[in-house]
Amino acid sequence: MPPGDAGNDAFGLAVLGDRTAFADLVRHHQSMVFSLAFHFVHDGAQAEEVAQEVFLELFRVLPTLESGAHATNWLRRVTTHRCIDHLRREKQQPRIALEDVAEPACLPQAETIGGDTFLMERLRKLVSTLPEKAREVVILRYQEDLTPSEISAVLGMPVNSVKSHLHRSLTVLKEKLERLRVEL
Amino acid sequence: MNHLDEELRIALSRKEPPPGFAERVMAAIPVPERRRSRLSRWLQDATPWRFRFSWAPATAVLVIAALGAGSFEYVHGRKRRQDAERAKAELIFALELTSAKLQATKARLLRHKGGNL
Repeated sequence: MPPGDAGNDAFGLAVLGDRTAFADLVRHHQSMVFSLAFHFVHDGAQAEEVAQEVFLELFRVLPTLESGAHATNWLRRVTTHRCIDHLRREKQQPRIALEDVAEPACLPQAETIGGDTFLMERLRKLVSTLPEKAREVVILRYQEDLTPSEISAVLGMPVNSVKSHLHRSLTVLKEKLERLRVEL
Repeated sequence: MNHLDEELRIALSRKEPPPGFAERVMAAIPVPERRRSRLSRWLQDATPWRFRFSWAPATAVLVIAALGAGSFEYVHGRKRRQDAERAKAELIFALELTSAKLQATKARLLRHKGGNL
């Protein structure tokens, strides 16, 4: 079965008001939406909150969407927008995350943290510190494996701006990662 | 950049949300009011049967309760009437007995005093 068929079938039935089909649609897209939010806000609980908000909005606008592919692009765009809204709200009413309370005195060696390497975790953290637009572009490029023109279509941003954000972000990330490797 | 590209792909790979995520989303979505067909709406709005059927159990309960209360009242009323009749008969008997005793006493007194009373 080509990828996306299950999502398309679920989309067709969900538009007709089938709740079971909508639940299937949620299951089909949940890892994409949750991961976009997680890589953007870098917090599991907040990512789940954003992802739920996005799917509730999807339920409301579903009849206005044309196809499964349209729904996928809508989810990508709205998730990134909701993440930005969420972070702006958080800035106004900051919450202290447990990980921010106590900074470890020394950096642990490259070891496995929750089945993932420490370096990967640091890299995710670095991505989450990029400016909003650059972060959107990098996450869509590497999580969703989208080309610059596809990213441009999702975000409604000129292709040259996408390429520019991508280039600058990779330069910054490369420098910071090199510095981190030296520290380790 | 190729090495960084690969590292970013791994670091930013998709992750599954916590278990039960889809169920929590579905629980937050309000259940729409059940849509009825035009015929079923017409039947429900226009026919008196719906009214009768919906009120039938309540009416039956009320009728049974009224019948129960009526029969209880009837049985108790009859018993009260019987008791009253019995009391009346006993009173008449007692009065007759008293009257007879008085008549006898009066006759005895008349005999005793030579009939001057």
